[in-house]
Amino acid sequence: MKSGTRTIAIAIFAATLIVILGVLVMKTRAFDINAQNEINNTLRDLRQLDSEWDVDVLRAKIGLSSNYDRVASPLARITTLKDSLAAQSAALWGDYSDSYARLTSLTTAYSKLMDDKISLIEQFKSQNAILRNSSHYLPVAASELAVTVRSEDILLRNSNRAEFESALNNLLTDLAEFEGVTGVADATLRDRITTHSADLVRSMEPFSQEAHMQATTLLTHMQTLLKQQDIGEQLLTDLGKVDTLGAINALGNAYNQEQAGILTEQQFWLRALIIYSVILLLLLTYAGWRIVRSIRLLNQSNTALGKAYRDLQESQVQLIQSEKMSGLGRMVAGVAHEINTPLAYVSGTLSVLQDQLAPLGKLTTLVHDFIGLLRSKPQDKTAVNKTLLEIEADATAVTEQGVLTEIDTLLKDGMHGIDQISEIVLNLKNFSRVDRVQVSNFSVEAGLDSTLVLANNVLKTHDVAIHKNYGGAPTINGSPSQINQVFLNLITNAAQAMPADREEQNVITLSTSMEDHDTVRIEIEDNGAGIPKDVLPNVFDPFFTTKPIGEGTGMGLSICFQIIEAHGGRIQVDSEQDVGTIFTILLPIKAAQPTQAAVVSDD
Amino acid sequence: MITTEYISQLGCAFVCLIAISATTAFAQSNEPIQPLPPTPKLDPGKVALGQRLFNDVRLSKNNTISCASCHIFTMGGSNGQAIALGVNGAKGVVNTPTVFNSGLNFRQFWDGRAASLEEQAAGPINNPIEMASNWPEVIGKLSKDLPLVAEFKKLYPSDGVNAKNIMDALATYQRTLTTPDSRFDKFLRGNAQALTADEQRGYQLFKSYGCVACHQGVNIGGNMFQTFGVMGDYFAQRGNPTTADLGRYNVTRKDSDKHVFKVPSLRNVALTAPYFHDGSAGTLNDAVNVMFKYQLGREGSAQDKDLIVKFLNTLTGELNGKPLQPAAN
Repeated sequence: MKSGTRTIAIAIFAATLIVILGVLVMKTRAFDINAQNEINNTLRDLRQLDSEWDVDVLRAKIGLSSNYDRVASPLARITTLKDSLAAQSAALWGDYSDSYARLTSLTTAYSKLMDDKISLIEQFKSQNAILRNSSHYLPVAASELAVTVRSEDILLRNSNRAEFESALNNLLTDLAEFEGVTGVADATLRDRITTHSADLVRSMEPFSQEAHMQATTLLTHMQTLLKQQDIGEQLLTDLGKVDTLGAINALGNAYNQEQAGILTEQQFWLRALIIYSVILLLLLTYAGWRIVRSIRLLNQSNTALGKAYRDLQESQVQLIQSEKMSGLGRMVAGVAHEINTPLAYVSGTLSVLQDQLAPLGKLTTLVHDFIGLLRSKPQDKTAVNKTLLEIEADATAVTEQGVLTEIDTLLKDGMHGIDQISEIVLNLKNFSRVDRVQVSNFSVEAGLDSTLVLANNVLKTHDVAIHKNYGGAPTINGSPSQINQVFLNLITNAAQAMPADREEQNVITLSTSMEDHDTVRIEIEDNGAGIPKDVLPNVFDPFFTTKPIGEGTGMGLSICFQIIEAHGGRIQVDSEQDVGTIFTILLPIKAAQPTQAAVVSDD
Repeated sequence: MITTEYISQLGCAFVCLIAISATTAFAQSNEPIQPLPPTPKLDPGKVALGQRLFNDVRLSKNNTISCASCHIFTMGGSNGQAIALGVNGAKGVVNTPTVFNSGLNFRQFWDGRAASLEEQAAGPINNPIEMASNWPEVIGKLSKDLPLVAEFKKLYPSDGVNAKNIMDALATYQRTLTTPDSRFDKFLRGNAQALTADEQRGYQLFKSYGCVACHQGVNIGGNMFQTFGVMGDYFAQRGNPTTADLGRYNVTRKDSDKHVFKVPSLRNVALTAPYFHDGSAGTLNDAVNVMFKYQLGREGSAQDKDLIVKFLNTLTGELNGKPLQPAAN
């Protein structure tokens, strides 16, 4: 629980460090100077277009341009440039919201000014067209009027005509002056024009309707000229006030300022990032040092653990051996008894043999005496005959009693007894061997038989009948002394599980068969009391025993388990109360590479 | 009479440009009208797609009319009606402007409310008395036409069928609908034989009477706004004022923009009768009379006007190398 909290705390700490790093990296991400240069280029294009446009308007104003195509054409380009400016600005500055808001407001201000300018220039074109039309037409109208008037003067006095000519001349002079003025015409000129216009109207009185109409047209166009001139002046004044260039420059300056601001801020964050990186590096170094130290400690523990493990294996090997010896110790009495039987038998046989040898000895002595009598000089015939008769009688007795046959039989019996003893001793010796030499031709059936010899006394004590169901299992790879130890342990346990004085015949059934093509199956079954269900799962645990203290170490089955495991096999137990217990051992024909426990030598 | 502060603001740029124009502009013809440049070579795929869409009735609500229904190529790119009819016979409010050379106009529509052909294309589609449709409807219909969708996907790989691309294709196509090589353009290029003496005289009168003050430039108009009725109240004379008569005022809501219209191009003008935003002038002579009275504010002899009309008849150009012809009727 505590370590879980600690892990979460460390995870949160690490995440925080990474987030801070991420924020710092974000803050110091490179400002795209190229993109800003593109914006500057767009602004430069707009500025240039704007200037050129101004020039085109002026060219149109002073009549240098013959049409308005050049004045009209910037519209589309301005729209395109404004659009690309907005797009470029959004792409580069969109992330810097404060700057972007300031820049956008300046862009909007520029856009508004530009709309004003466009509108003014539209009005200028219309106004200029009207102005130029009237300005162009006025001299024509004047001359048309003059022609009409002069054609009518036959009936009129010269004074009327002179008055008309004078008024028209004055007016045309005024208009020429008016058109020549740069800037707003002064009031006196306007007053003069008004006066001279009135003069002209007055001078027209004597003339025809047609002349009147022409004069009206002339004056209308003159009024148009005056009015449009004023409007034009006003438009150009307004146009001059629409400082789009100033707005573009302000925008350009704002971009520079914002850029400088961003770069300054970036410097700050860059410093912060460097400091933070150094801190992180130190932290990392510390962590690295901690890890190295931990690894060193781990290595030490590992070494210690390895040694402990080897010690443990060592003790386990000794444990197996001592368990075996302890088992042997417990068996010694039985084994001694086993040996005692043939020994008594041999002893009896020898004793009978000794009795049987007495007549032979007597006969031998008689023969010896007889030969002495025969060789003595002189011969004692009587003694010879008498001895011969005795020899005959004894020989007949030996022959008739079958002493030699009996001796032979006795010797054979004695030899048999001795064989039995030596078998027991050999098995005992085999069993108690410390080595775990692997042999390739170990017969589990022979092993079982050999074990039965050793366990014979226990079996007899518990009145156990042995049933063998040998299936002719093939020889396997394995350590005979260890596997026999397992058999002995299981058979002894089985026997001990069955009291001798039961009504039922105690039976241990030994079965061998093939589990599959490379595994041998050995079953050791008894018909004893069975192992209680609650105990069954623990029977292979070390130090688990149900026997009274002093009778069992609790290591027996645990060691059996380890031995079979070491051989790459399995051991399992089935038991039913009052029916019996079956231990099943499965052993591979080709044993697994012996594990360490099996290999460690204890010479 | 030039505002001094305006001059000072320009500074030397002006001087430089004067110098440049002295060497370039004056070297060329200084005529107020310039010949049409050759038809621009634009992306053939988009042009073809635009042409398909231009003739596609699915752009209208009930699949009855296409752009080409009102912009009829054999009728000067217009339709001969004073006011054309839209979906279900709905009557429009202004005379249909020609589609020819429309790409050379500085703005679109009589009141100049669209800054570009792209913007213009959306107008009739959404206008309830024209095609009476809307983008979702049009895109929905076109999206069912798989070959068309594939064509869009090919030409506009990033987004396929959408309003922007439909407008782009239509505008691209329309930019190729220019009519260069009119007899007058040949004359301007130096072929004095291209015009008869009367026609040349007509051109001189066109200039001297002041028509050219507004109808100038490469498109002979189409690059500025002007008040209809500078020298007299045309609308009072005509009667029945309509909202459409207010012209640009409807866009800007400025009093000075009342009765202000885009000066229409006079190219192919012989084919595009009737004339004016209200389609009130049935013949060129009618139109010239109205212009004399209300725009020039002067009388002209019938003979001069006839000569001007003869000149106007020389402005008919060629579409894709074939001379435009008046509709046979």
